[in-house]
Formats: sequence, C-alpha cells, structure tokens
Amino acid sequence: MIALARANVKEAAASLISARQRSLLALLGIAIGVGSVIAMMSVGVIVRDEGLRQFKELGTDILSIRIRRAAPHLAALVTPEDAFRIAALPTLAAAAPYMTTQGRISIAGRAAQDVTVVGTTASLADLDKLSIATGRHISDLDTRRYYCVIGAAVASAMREAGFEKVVGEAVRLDSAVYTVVGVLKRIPQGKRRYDPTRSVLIPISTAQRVFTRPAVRNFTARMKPGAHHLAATQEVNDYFRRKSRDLRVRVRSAEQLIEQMYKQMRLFTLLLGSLGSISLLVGGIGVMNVMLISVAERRLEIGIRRAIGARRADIQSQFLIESVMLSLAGGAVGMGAGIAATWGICNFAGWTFQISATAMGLGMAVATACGVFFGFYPAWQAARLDPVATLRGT
Amino acid sequence: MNEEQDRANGAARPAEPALRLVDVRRSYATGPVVTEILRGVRLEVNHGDLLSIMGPSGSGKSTLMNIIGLLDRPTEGQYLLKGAEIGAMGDRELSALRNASFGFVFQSFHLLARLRAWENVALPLVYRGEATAAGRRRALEMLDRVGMADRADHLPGELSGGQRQRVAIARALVGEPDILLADEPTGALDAETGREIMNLIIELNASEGLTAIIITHDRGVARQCARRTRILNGVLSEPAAEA
Repeated sequence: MIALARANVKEAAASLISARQRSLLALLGIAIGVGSVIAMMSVGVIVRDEGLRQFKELGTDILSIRIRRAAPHLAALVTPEDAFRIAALPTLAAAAPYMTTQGRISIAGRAAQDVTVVGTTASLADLDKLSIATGRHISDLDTRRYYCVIGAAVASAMREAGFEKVVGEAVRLDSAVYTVVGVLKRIPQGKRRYDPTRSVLIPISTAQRVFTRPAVRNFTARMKPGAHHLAATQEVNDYFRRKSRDLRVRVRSAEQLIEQMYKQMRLFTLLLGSLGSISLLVGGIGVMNVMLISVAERRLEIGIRRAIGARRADIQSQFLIESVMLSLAGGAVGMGAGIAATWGICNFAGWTFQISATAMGLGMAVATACGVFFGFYPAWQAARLDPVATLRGT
Repeated sequence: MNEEQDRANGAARPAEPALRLVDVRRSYATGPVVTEILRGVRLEVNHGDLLSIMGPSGSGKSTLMNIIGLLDRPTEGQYLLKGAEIGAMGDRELSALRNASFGFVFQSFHLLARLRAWENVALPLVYRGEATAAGRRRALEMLDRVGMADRADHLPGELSGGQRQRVAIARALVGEPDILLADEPTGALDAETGREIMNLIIELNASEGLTAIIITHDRGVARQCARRTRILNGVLSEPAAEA
C-alpha cells in the first residue's frame, strides 16, 4: 500500500504542476484562509501571554490613578498627602503619589542625557517594584532634599564618564545639583508611565518646588487581598469626587488593561475569523473546481486504472490525495502569510511577537480538512465513473 | 499447482474452464427504449485458448469484452470466472479479480502519458500493493520479454505506436493474469507493426500457454487464432472447431 500511496502522491504532484495556473488560484484562497487562522490563533496566544506578563510585572492588585489635567484651582486640591487617605480607603492597602517631567541630566558638566524626572515618595519603590542595585531608595526623611535615585542607564553613563562609584556623586539636573543616593536595577518599562532605566527619582516635596507644574497627577495604589478592582475603582473615584465634582480621575487596574487587550484581541479575532472563513470557503471552492476539472480531464485515465484493477476506493483516494496536497501547498504559503500578519498586528498593538506551534499545527490541520472536505465530492465523482463509458471516451 | 502445469502444457484442457458465460444478456435502457446488445451469449474459454471474437462494429463485441473483463455486468445470465459466479461480487472483489485475472490491451494503447514505460507496466502491481522496487524489477523483466527493455525510461509520447502496444502488452501481462483481453490490438497500427504485435501474442500463447481473447474486425487477425468466434447482433457463434 505504501507503493500505491507513493505513486499517488507523485501522480498528484505531476497533475497539479501541469495545471499550474488553476492550482495557484485555488492555492491563494487557501493560503489567505490558513494565514488568517494562524494569525488569529497566534494573536490569541500572544494576548494571553501578554496578559500573564502584565499580571506578573505589576501584580493583579495594582491600581494606576491619574488625575486629568484641570484648572489650577482644581489641580491644587490634589496633594501628595492624598496618598495616605487613598491608602486608608476600605479596599486599598497602600498608595504612592508621583509626578513626572522631562529633564536633562549632566554629569560632571558633560555627558548630558535626557531623562524622566519622577518626584515620589518611598512607598513607590515597593508599589512599582523598583529594586535598588546599589545605595538606597528615596526616603520620606528626604523632604525637600536634593537627593536622587538614578536609573541603570543613567548610572552607566556616569561610569562611562569616569565615575567609579556612582552613589555619593553629584549630578546636575536642569538647574539644581543632586546627590545620588541610589541606583535602580535594570528593569523593563512595562506599563509604567516612565522608563525606570532612564529615570531620575527625587523626593516629591523637592519635585513640587522645582517642577514648573507642581500639581500631583499620578498615584499608584495597591488593593487589599480579595478586593475587586471595580469596587476599588469606585472608591477612588468617589474619594476625588468628594474633593470636587469637577475633578476627573481615571483609574486603571491590571485587570482592566488586560480586559482592554482582550477587547482588542476579540476585534482582531473577529476580523481574521471572518476573513479566514471567507477565504477558506473561496479557496475550498477553488480546490473543488480544480479537482472537478482534473477529474473531467482524466476520465480516460480513470477508466484505464479501473481496467488495470484499481478499486473505486483507490480512485477516490488518488483524487483526495491530490486535493489535500493542493490545500497543503496553500497551507504552507499561508503559514508564511500568517506569520507576517501576526508580526504586523503585534507591531500595531505593541505586543511581543511570538510564533505559536499550536497555531501552525492548527493552520495545517485546517488546510488538510479543507482539502478533504472540498476534494471529497470530485473524488467521489471520479470513483463512481463507469469504466466502460470512460474507456469508450463518452 | 494444477493451473501452472496446465498453462505450461498449453493445449491441454482441464475440466474447469477459465471462464464460462451462460445465456448472458446485456441491454441498455435509454428512456423508454431498451436496446439489447447481447442476446444470450454462451461461451467457454479454456486455459491456453487463443480465441478471436470477430464482428462488425455495433455487433456487441466491445460489450462482450467489457463483461468478460469485469468492467460491466450482464443484465441477465451467468458469468463464472474460474468456477466462481461474479454476479454477487462487489467493487472490491471485482477490482481485485480484474487485477489478478485479466490483462487488457486496447486499440489505442491507453498508456498513462505522465508515466514512464516501466511505471505504466508496473501499475497493476501497484494496485496489488506490491513494493515499488519489486514492481520495477518485474516491469523491467516484462519489458525485456516484449523487446522493450531499452525503452523502459521513455514516456509513451516518445514511443512509436508499435512500441506503445508492446508496453501495453507488458502491462497486461506483468501481473501474470489468467487471460489476456485484447480489443483490436492491431487496429491503430500499420500492417507490418500489427503483424509483429499479433506474432508476439501468438508466441506468448504457444510458449507460455497464455490464454488470450482477441476482439477484432480484421479477418487476417482472426485467422491467426486457433479458436474463432463471430458475433453478430449480439449473438455469438462458433463455427465447428477444427481438428
């Protein structure tokens, strides 16, 4: 039977190649369909992984609170001390205020570098998972002192500039000189509003003095274990509303971010799913068409094979193999298309690109299924041809 | 064992005929019109026979060949192949039996254009499930026997009519069938090549006891066969056998 299968595969390839144009057109539909399926699956896997990563990075219990830009008298209502009161809300366990601005740091009068200046309190370190490589963190005792903790990239720049030990050195940040008290470990930005590697952390009280806009607009908070993010969001909203009805606050949780991502994924899934199913249908009809023509053109051959001893089942499998091979060729092209599409979507949505083996497998399975499904009728038709009629040429 | 000996003996006739048709009728219904092609054919073919069936076109000789070759079934009557009634057999059995019992030779050769000569010859073995290497070996042996060993790797399109028919005969015989069924085997060939092909069949019959049924409208071809039958309007007749 192996010999028969091998002969069938060889025959099928020769037949498909001889009808090149027809085959290519049918193949295109399958390729787009399989590509869509692969992209759809991959995006699903990527979003799931992305979600898991975010949970891991920030924790499921972190809320990011941002006050919308408001008139100065409203902005003045929010102070760093609000962090303590937010932390005291029933569903919340801790909170830290922070404010950011863009700055330029110069080391020993040269090696200038653009950085994000983050004014904050000691508790941000824990909430935002900022670990110290050397030195210490900003402390609540540093009130209005010109102390700073620098990101890993800034520290590297200092070392390049010839500073052997970074902690204890003085750096100029815009117009003020700060003493470096600590260096952060190198960590990815994740969903933080600032890139810790390229940041300089200073006491929030200092920041309020040196920033052109002294309003505190950001808080990071942690919920109590078991608290629901919607309940916590509600409490935070209510808290700020009590200060003024005109304060607009946006609260986001990791869960919300992930939900948002899933929403985006569902959109892609819908898009790819409909594109995929339409292309598979069109491609499948193309395959069926190619196969019907192939059967019609090879009636005599079918008769000869039957006379030689081919069973109906042999004829049927011969044509099924041919249609599956055609679909698989489409599937192979579709794999490339799927990878490209996934890459494009990841670029667009800002997700980490990866290829899922399951998606590839599923794509090929879909191609095979398509070949069997759409090849079945032509193959069945070929198998039930009357050998006498085919040999007579009618 | 017995069969093999019989075949080696050539003319010897065992009790069980290779095939037997009893009152075989075949009719086609085209709408309300029923056309009867075969009207009660009786025929016994014994091992080692070289039998011709001669008749004008439309006489039913192709239909008869299709029925003998298991490509078609009688509407009425009995067909016994090696003593077994084929009436109740399904496609699976018939196909296997066709593969094992018959080798077809057609007027227009009917080689598969995409396959090389040896691949065409090996095809019956492929459907028998034989391994490729063994099939190739036997196909090459068979091509050698019909004098086509040096054309084994050619495509049918690269061969002359006579060469193609030799390849077709090799394909018909590679599976060691009981009966060679030839439908106008010389019909598409010039006189000289036709004679060569007939000589090949006669020689295989004489030397190896090959049973062959040759359908023809050519008196010259029929005359070369030891047993001669005629078919006219669906009735088969056999003039008194010569001594």
